[in-house]
Amino acid sequence: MPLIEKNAELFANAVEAVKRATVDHVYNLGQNLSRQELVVLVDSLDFTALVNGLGYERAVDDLLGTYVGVLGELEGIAPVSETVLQALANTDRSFYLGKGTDLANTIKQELTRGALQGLSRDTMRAAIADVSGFTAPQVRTIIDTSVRVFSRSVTAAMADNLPDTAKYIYVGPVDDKTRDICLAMVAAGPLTQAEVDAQFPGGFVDGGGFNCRHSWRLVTSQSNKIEKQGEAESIISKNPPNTTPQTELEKSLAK
Amino acid sequence: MAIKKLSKIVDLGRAWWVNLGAELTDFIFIHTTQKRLDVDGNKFKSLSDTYSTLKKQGAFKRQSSTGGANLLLTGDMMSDLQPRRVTDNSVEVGWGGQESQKVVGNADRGRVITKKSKPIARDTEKMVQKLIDKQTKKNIKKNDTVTIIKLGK
Repeated sequence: MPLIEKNAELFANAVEAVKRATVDHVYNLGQNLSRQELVVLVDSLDFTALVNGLGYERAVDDLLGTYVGVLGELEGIAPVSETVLQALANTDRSFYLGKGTDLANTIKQELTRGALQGLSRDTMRAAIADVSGFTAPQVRTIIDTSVRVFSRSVTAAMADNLPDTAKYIYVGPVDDKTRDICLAMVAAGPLTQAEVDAQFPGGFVDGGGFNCRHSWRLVTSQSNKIEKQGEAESIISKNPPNTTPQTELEKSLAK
Repeated sequence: MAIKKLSKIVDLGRAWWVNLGAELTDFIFIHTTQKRLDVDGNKFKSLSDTYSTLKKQGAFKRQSSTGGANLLLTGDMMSDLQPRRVTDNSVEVGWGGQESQKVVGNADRGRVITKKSKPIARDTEKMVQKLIDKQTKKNIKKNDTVTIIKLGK
């Protein structure tokens, strides 16, 4: 099993274990309490601290440790390793810990309801198991995206060694799954880094966002064999990008 | 004719090495995914029947290619091939940790993109040699000086 898959699955399993441990902890504390006393007990507990203490925070650090380790295996990352790896790790840690707080609040809510109904520990465990946490595919997407962002950061670091006039093309698949923003970047053809930043802010490192399959490549003598500018332009001309207003208010104003 | 500084002839410069890395990357990409050749210049062996059928059906998540043995599925591995380290007199091209595992996996299954004894294919080597020759000639021209010594009045 590839490392990313394995890490994602380990993390998802750890989250499931934390859910079970949280239920057990609360039921152990309140085993001699009445339903109403159990509700009061649940209300008094800091579930974020509880979830983190029962292994969630450790699971996050283990996950980041392993996949930042994967990134760290790269040769020649010296120009970007310290800053980029740390930034990636910090950003993703905050993201996961934020999700941990959401998970803690949901567990608290479910336990309060369960306590009022007098649900058994096993029933409660089953109910909490359905609470959405992180599935392995969700974690894999986050890791994949971080790795791709890192990969584009390497290109950006390399760009520092080149004149400002150096041009790049956006390469990768052009198909029915390609996002509008990626199609637009492919169709834009050769651009300098400054032009990318002006036309697609953040696009040089972030690409098209989560799960993006594209990357920027320096224009070479072989670029014409790799670029798919024509294909992207053709798709855009048949299906113009969705530029309709995003909110209901904007839609009604547009009418 | 005299040459001011001999060392300048072979001084290709960091930007040149970055460009070479990009050229190398594209050459390997085309050699592997479009010509479908391994590092020894042999056609990649065919995909297994089951995998080939699933690939043609587009059954895989994030799949971007339905072609045969072109080492493209999502495209993640081959698009991760890029210059990794550049100095004033060298460039290293390769894959990151996760994607490099796929390269090793493919080699284990008989589809070798690179190997220690032969990092790049013969036609890619020729391209590198041409680029070095071209730049060296440029440098010779740049550093040519003609000294005229007048004798007598």
